[in-house]
Amino acid sequence: MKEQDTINPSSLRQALAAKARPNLVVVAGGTDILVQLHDRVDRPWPKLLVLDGIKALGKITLHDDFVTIGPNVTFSEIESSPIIGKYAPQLAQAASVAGSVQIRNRATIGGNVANASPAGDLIPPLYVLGATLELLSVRTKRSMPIEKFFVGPGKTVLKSNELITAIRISKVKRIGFFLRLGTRQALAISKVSVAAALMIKSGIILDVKIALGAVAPTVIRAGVAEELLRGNRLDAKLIDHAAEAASKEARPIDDIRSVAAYRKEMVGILLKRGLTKILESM
Amino acid sequence: MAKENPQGNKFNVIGKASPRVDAIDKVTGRARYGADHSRTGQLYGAVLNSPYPHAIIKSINTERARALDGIRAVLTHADIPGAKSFGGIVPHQMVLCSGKVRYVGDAVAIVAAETPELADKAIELIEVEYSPCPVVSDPEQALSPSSPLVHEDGNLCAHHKVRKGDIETGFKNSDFVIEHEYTTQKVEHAYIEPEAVLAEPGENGGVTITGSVQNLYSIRRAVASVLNLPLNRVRVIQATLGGSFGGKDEAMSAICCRAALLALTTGRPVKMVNTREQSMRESYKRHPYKMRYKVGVSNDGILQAMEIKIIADAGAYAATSQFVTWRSVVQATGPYVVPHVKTDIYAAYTNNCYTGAMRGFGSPQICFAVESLMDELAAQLGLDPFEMRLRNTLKDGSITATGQKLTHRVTLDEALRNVTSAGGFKAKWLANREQDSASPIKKGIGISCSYRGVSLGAEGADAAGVGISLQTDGSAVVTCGLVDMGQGAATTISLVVAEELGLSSDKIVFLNADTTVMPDSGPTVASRTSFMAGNAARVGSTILKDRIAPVAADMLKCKASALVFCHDFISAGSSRITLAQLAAECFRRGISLSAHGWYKSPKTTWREEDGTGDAYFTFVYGANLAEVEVDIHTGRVIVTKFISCHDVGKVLNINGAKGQVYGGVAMGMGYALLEAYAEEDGQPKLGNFDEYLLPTICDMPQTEVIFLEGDDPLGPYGAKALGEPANEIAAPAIANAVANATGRRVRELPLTLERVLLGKNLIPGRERGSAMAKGAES
Repeated sequence: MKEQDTINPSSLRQALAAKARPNLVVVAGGTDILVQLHDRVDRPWPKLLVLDGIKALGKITLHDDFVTIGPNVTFSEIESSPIIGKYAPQLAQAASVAGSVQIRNRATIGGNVANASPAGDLIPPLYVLGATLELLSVRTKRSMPIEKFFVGPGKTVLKSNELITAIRISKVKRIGFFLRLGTRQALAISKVSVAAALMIKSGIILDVKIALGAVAPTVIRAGVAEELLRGNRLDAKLIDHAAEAASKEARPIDDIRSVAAYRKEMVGILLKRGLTKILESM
Repeated sequence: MAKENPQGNKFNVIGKASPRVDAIDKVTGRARYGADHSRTGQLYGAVLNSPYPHAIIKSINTERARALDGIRAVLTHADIPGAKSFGGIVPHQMVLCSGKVRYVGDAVAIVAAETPELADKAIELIEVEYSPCPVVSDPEQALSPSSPLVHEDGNLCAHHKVRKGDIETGFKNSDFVIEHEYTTQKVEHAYIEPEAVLAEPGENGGVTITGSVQNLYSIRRAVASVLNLPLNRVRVIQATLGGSFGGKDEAMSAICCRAALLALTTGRPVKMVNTREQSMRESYKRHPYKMRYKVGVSNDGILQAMEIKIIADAGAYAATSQFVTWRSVVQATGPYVVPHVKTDIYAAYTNNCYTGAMRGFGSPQICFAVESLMDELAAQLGLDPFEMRLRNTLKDGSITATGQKLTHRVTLDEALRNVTSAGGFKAKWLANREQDSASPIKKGIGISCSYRGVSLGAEGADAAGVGISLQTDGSAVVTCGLVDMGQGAATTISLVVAEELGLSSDKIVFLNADTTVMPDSGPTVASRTSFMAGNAARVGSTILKDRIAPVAADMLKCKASALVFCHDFISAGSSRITLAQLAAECFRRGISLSAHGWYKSPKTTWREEDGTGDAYFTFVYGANLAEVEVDIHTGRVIVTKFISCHDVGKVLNINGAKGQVYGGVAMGMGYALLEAYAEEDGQPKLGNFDEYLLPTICDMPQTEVIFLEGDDPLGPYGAKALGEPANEIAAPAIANAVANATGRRVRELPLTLERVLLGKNLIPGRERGSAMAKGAES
C-alpha cells in the first residue's frame, strides 16, 4: 500500500467544502475504493477525502414517518440495529451476508450506494423500501428516489461537488426478503440477488416491490412481476407466474462471476423461494 | 536407534502431539519471510514482462530508462555473462528473452533502482518492438502438425507410456466397455506469500540469495551457470516460507538469477518482491488434463482393460512437466489390478502460463478421472461404489500397472473400510438415490481412494542429509538440506533427533536450509521429507550417539548397552547424568559433537520403452469420504462432512499430520468446487484473489481424520508420506457425492454452481459487469 494524501474532515461542512474541489475520491469504509485504487497500477492515485471522522453521518435515527440512515453507518451496524430489523428486515439480511465480518465492520451503506455496482447488496433492499437519498453540496440540497440515482455500472447522477448525506426509508410496515447467490459462503460478490417488500392484507397483495441485483447495468425493478402480483391473492400458481416474469425481466450478461443463462434462471428461483416462504408463514 | 524408554512406551516424542518448533516465531512475528529481509543500501529490482503470449522481439531500447535518475542498472539478455536459460530437465527457460517471448510471464528486461517506484517508472520507459506470432492456446491443437511452433524442435514436451498385457485381449475378455472423457482445470498454488528474494554481492566475488525458495540446490545450479560462477560462490539461504505447495520450486531460479545479475552488476544488494498480480502472471500452475478413459469390465465387476490417453497443457516451458506426467502415467489406472493396460500421456507446449509442480504432482487429475470412472462402472453393474472398488483394489502382493509387485503391507481395503464404516456409507448412498422429497436440497455421499508412490521414484537420484550439532549445555542445532515450507518439516526432523538422543524438543533450534551448510539433498517435493530427512536424522543421531555413548558409559561406570537416553538425561540403573554434563565432558575429551546423517533411498527401476518397472520403492494408500448437500435448483454444493483415512506408515507428530489432512482437504475442495485460472488466447483473465476464489473457513466441512499405521520397513519408525495423498482424492470424493445427490455425473472440474445446474461453466475472458466502476472518479 502506498502512502496517500488524504483530507480528513471532522464535520460535514468541512467535507462539503473539500468536495467543492475537483479530482477527489471519497472514502467511507474503503472496502471498494482501496481495491479499485490498488488496480490503478499505471495511474497516480488521486487525493482521498476520508469521511469516517464525521460522526454525524454515522447514525440511524427514528423520526415520526421515516428512518434516517447516515451514509457512514456500517453493514455490521445495519445487521444488528433493532430499528432496521423492524422497519427494513431486507436491508438487515443483505448487510449480514455481504463480504466477511471484517468487511462488514468497515463497509458503509453510503459507500455501497455510491459505488453503484449492480451487485451491491444493499441496493436491491433500498429499492424495494422506496429509499430516498439526500444529496448535499456547499450550495445545494436535493433529494431523489434511489432508483433515479444510478446510470450504469459505477455511474451515478451524483455531481462532483455533492455527497450522499442521508438515506431515508419510510416506516410503513412491510414484509419482505433479500436472497442472493455467491460462489462461496463468504467473501463472494453476488452472482444474482433478489429483494422484495410486500403489503398483504387478508391474503391479498396490496402493494409489492421487487428489485433484482447483478442482472442488468444497474439494480432494476421487476415491474411485470410486480404487476402480476399486485391486487391478487398470493398462492403457489401466482408465485410461479411472477417468478417466470421476473426471470424474463432480467437482462444479465456473461462475466467472470456467472453466465447470463444461469442468472436469468436464478432470478426466478430466488423470487419463488422468497415468496413461497411468505406464503407458508401466512 | 530408539526402541523402548523406561516407562515402557515405545517412544518419548514420536507420534505425540507436539507443537510446531516455529510456532512462537510465527505467531509473534519474529519469523522473517522472504520480503522481511532487507539490507542497508539495497536497490529494488523490477521486471518488464511481455505483453504478448507469443511474439518475436525485434528490438529493445533501454536508453530512456537508463537516463532516469536513480536507476543503477537496466539489463537485457545481452548482459548475461553465462547461460541465457535454465531448467532442470530442459534448460530452455529464458532468464531474459532474446529471440522471442512464449508467454506473458516472460521477461525481456530488468531494472535496479533506488526505490521501487523508480524501478517501475524505468520499466515503463523501456521500448520493445514486437512482432506478434500466432498464439497456441489449445494443447491438443498444439500437437497437430499444422500448429505454429512454441519451441523450434516441436510442441511435444513429454510423452510417457505404460504397456501391460495386451489391450485388445483385455477388451475381448470384457463383458462391457465404457468410454468417457474427464477434464481438469488449471489452478494456482495460492501460497499466501508471493515470491520474494534478496541478492547480495558476496565478499568472494559471488552472490548470496535469501528468499522464498523451496528447492535451493537447483536454484544454485541455475544462478551459478547464468552468472558463470563456481557453485561454492553462490549461496542460497531459505527464508521462512509462507507456503509453497510445489510453487517455489526450481522456477524460482528466474527471479533469483535476475536479482543476482542486478546485484553483481551494481555491486549492491537487490531486493525483488512480486506483487500478487505478478506472481499470478508469472508463476507456473497445475497442469490442466484432458483424459480419455476406455475401460473394459467383466460381469462380475472385475476390471479387464484400461486404455488411457491424456493430454496435458505444459504451457510455454517444460519445467517439471516430464516428471509430473510420469507420475500420472505410473498411477493412471488408480489403485486397482488391471491385467491389460495401455496408457499414453502427452504434454504439449502452448503459449499459456506454464505448468509444473503442485501438491499432488500429476495425481489429482488422474484420481478425479479414475475415481469418477469407478462410480460410473459401479452404476452400470448395479454395485455400490465401495463393493466395486473392493473387487479390484491392489492387495498384498498385487502387481501394479507398471508390473511392480507390492512387497509391503497394502492397506487400501482397510482405508476404504475405515471411511465407509465411519461414514455409514452404504446405507446413506442407497437412501440418497431414493430421495423424493419436495425439498430441492439433495444429500449425497461419495468415496475415493488412491495409491501413491513415495518420494521421487525413478525420476532420479534420491538422497538427503541432516546435520546435528550438540552443544556443551545439552542444547542442539539441527539443519537439513530439505526445507520447512509450512508442512512442518522443521518440527518432524527435530522430533526424530529428540527421540534418538533423548533430548527435549524445545532444546533444539532448527536452522533453515542453506546451501553452504548442507550438501545437495535434492528438492523438497514428492512428500519425501519426513521419509528421507527422517531417515537421515536417525542416521546422524546414531552416528553422534555411538560417539558419545562410550563417554557416558565411562562416566556412569557401566556398559554402553545399558544406557538409556531420555528427557535430557542418560541413565544406567539408578545413576544418571545430564546430557549437558555428557556433552561438556565429550568436548573436554576432544570428541566431536557434530554429526551428519545421509540417507539414500532404495533402488527403483524404469524402462521408458514400455513403461515397466519398480517405479517407487514403496507406496501409501488412502481413502476419502465426502458428504454434500446439493441445491438442485441453484447448483450450490455444500460439503457437510469429510472423512479422510491415510496409511502414513507411522504418525510422527499427530498435530502436524492432522494439519496436513485439513489443509489437503481444503485445497482439494477448492479444486473440486471453486478454483480455475482463466486464460484466453494466452492472456490471463484474472490477477488476484478477488477473482480467483479459494475456499474460506466458512466452506470447510467438519473433517474427521483416521490414520492407519502400516509400519513400512523402510521409513523412519515406519513412517511414509502424507502431504500429497491428503490432497489428491478430495475432489473425486466430492464429485462422486454430487453425482449421488443429483443422479447426474459431471466430468469436468470445478463443480461451480453454473456447471452443476446447467452443465456449463463460467466463460472466462469477459470483463465483470461492474468493471466500469473500477475507474473511480478522478
